[in-house]
Amino acid sequence: MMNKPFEYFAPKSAGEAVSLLKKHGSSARLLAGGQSLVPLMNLGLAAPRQIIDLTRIKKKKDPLSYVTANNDSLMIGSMTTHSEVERSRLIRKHCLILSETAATIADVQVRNRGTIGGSVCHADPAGDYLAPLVAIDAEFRAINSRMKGRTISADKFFRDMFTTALKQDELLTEIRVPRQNRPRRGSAYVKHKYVEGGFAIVGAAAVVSLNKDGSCDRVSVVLSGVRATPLRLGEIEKGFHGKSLDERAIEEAGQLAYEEVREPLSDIHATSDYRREMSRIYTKRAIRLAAARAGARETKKKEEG
Amino acid sequence: MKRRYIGQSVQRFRDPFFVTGKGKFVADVYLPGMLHAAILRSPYAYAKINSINTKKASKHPGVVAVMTGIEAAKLSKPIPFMYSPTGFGSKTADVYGLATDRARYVGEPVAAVVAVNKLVAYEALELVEVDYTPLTPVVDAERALEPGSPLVYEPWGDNLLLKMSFRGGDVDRAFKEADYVIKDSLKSHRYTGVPIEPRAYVADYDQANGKLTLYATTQQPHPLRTTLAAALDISENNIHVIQPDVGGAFGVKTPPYQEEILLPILAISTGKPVKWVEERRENFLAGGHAREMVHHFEVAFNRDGRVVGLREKMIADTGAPSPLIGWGMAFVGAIHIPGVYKIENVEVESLMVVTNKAPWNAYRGYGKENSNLLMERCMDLVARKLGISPIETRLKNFVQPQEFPFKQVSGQVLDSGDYPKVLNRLLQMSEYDELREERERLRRQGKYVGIGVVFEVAPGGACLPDSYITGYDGTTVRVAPTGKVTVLTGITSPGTGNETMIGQVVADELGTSIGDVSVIQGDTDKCPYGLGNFSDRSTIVGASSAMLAAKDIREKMLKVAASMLEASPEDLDIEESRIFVKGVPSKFLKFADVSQAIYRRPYDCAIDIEPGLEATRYFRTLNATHIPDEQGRISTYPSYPNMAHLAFVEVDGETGEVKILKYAAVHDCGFVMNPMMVEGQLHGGIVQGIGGALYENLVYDDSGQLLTTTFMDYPIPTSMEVPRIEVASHETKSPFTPYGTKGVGESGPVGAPSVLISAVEDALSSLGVKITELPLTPNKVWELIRDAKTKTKVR
Repeated sequence: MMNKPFEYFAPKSAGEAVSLLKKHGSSARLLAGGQSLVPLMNLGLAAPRQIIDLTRIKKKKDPLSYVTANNDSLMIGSMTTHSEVERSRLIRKHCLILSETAATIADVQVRNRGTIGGSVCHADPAGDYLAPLVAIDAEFRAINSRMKGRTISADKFFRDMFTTALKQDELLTEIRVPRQNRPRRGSAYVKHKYVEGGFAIVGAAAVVSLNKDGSCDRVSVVLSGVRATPLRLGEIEKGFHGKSLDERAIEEAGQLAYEEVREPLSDIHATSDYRREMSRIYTKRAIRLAAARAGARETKKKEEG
Repeated sequence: MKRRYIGQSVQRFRDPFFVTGKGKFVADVYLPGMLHAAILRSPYAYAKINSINTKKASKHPGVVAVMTGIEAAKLSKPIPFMYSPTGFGSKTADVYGLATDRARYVGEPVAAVVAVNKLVAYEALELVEVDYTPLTPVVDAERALEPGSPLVYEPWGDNLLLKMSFRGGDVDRAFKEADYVIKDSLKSHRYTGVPIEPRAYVADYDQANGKLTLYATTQQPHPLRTTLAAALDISENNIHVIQPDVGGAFGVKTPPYQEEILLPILAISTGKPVKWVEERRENFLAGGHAREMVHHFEVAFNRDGRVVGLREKMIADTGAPSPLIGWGMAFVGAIHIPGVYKIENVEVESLMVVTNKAPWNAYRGYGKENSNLLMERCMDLVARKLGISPIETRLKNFVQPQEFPFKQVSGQVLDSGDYPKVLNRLLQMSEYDELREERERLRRQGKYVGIGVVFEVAPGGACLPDSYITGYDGTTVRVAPTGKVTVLTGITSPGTGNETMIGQVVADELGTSIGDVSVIQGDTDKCPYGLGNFSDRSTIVGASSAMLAAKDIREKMLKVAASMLEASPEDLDIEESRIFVKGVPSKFLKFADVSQAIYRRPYDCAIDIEPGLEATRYFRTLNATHIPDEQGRISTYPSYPNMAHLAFVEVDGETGEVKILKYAAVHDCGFVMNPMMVEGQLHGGIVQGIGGALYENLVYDDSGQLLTTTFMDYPIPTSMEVPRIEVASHETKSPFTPYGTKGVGESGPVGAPSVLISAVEDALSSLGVKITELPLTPNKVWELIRDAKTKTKVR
């Protein structure tokens, strides 16, 4: 039961939204799809004094929900819903991992309302978008109350549990992701959950690029659910250049993940030990799938077998 | 009598309403001038309530009343226990609508606010200031039994609510002479039914007439009325309890809850109707828990697989003392040992312990799931030890078909059944031999796959001594002059559709169309005094009392029709709303011709009958007795529906996830009144069992805080986790009910956890994994695998 009164604002433009943010300071919260904020308010875990509803911003004048592309990147409006991310042809073609991620979020009802911007700004450590966005080097575009824009890289965006790099008067307007459908590149997001729609115990995003000879050019793995913020596994990134990404290498990558994930989060669903082991398992699964998509022969065979 | 409806998959009457969102639930009740209540609950597992300051809350605009426990206790007597302590020899405690001097679990109601709307009531809740002195809680049953443990209810001097035991045969000798003895333990965790509709009440007190009306999400409108009369000191004939549509009950809506007494108090003291609709969090905190038991057991058996002796000590963590019937689950769990097996030398001790956790309430299975866990565990352990098939241990130890009615060592009398046939039919249906080959094939690929087969008995129709949980119910059949039939019955529906089944019975017994039959339930001013919904009883006592009443009406109508047709009543029959002379179908009267004649022609063709066309009949179930036998034993369950379960699972060796590849079951509920509804019941019951075994867990921390108060933390299985469940019925009619029905409502959750333990252990048998504890969450199963692998390495 939501029992704290709050003021409700429905700005018609992004500019109006940021000036409201500036005016009300930290007691105000932006309402996007409401799939995290509203449950938190219902549970009494959040009690903003002002709600600034972004859903009434005029779509034609000031769009925040869109997917466009240029030569290098996709531009996704922050108010784009998970369902739209899941189904967008552009995203499916150029950044499959993101569609794949959106499809694993909660249930259909949540995906129809929840937005990618709302989700990343909420910055739940178990949030699904976090790991893949960091893995594919996404960029976050924000405007402030003076209508000045800035770009924040994914590595710097997630600061702590439920905390981002956005300043008090900043509004996330767009997420830019580099096109992923390059030759010999594959990416994947795999998630360990107990029931359909459940939060990730561990989520693993992997991006694999292969050289022409089939050896590994680069492999990036980012985990969510294990730390307050997405964890980029640096040792793996360093370790496989020029090597063959065979089962033994993947096993080795899993071990590196296990070693790098020391004392992960622990809760009633998963002990620290379990999360650490799942980091190994899901790192392996993500790399295997990404490598297969990149066209690695040996792993592909294994996947099919 | 020709059966047109009985035995058919008749569409449920309420389905069109439910699936189009037109059901009428308590939350849909709006009365003029209605106020809303919010309940402040204890944040401590155990605390002394020193004082409550309501000044600020009372001054909050829109607040009409603020009530503390001390004030509420002045307006009622302690809530009567649903089971009389004299019937069981248990202790009782004084529990009121709100906690008075002490709060004994997190979530216990301590104060209430009544306001003009829900929002204001919840706002004001935060202004109520309670001065608590936190006390050291005890949150573990075995610890609670140790000397020096904190006392949950000090006047008792200990934390033991009740200890019951029974013994049959010569247990010591059996253990001495047996070829083998296994000693082990098994723990079931705390979980519960989570109805999608939480609890809700609207209380309305008509001061001018002194009449109290309570709309309630309850499974027992009449016993709730009786309880309210005693607690509130209102004449019972001035209380009206109405149960509108219910969105799932599963036992956890069995009265009396503290809130059920509190709401009438709030309505009486404000003079206005007051509504309270529970939040999900509150439902988790205080809506009735179940299942948490530890079994310490020893089983004695011979080389041939025959079990000759069993010793069991069960310790049940029943939570804080409560007038609810939850603790009875540890009693019922005990008396259903050894279940379907013929074991002559048995010793059972059941300890019902109170702790600073939420009180238990009834949950589908009602303790029989715990007897089942124990018995099926024993059968698997014996098979493993002897290296024989687990099917064989069961077949060897079953009570045999020719032995019914069979008196068990606890005094319970198994009514009927053919356990070997039910089990064999399951093996056939699930292609068990092929499945075993499939298992070997998959194992050769390195997969951890396993098969579990268990047998369940889910006794029904409970007749517990000196209680409103007993074996009768009543039905009124009323025919209007136009021939339309109204049925008023004391059994209630938790949303499952038993009103349709009652309609099938009445329509067939009267020979009329089911479309002309309307069934009314859940209203104490309309229906005969009945005990509502629990323990499979609608097809046992509900159908039977409806049949008796309908037969009376039929007889009366035939008598009048006979005089109208100038025939003898014995020569008449009724079919499709026509009363005709047997063999001469052209010589007939319409059903309504006769009903009208009874109302309009009392001085000619209806002169030989008593006017009116209404009958009320009660049915008391056979096969139960409260008169102790020579060994002092009574028999409290008349009906033994049973089921064989098979699960084929794959365990992910890396993550510990359990995936059910196949699930099949063959059930014997005696005569099947409505095959579609039976199938639905079995699916639902099995899914709840799967949920309990694999996902659901009410977790308390050491300070007694419940950590699982949302569906994020208490996952229930979705359609994505549940496999296709193949079910079939094998009918062995009960000789003790008119139609041979045995009931079905509690079947499924009893055996499903057992079969999953069995299957998962089989899947991990190459690692030597042993399961001693539920639930089998991925984390837990992974730990079992890890520990087994470490052990192997050490060796």
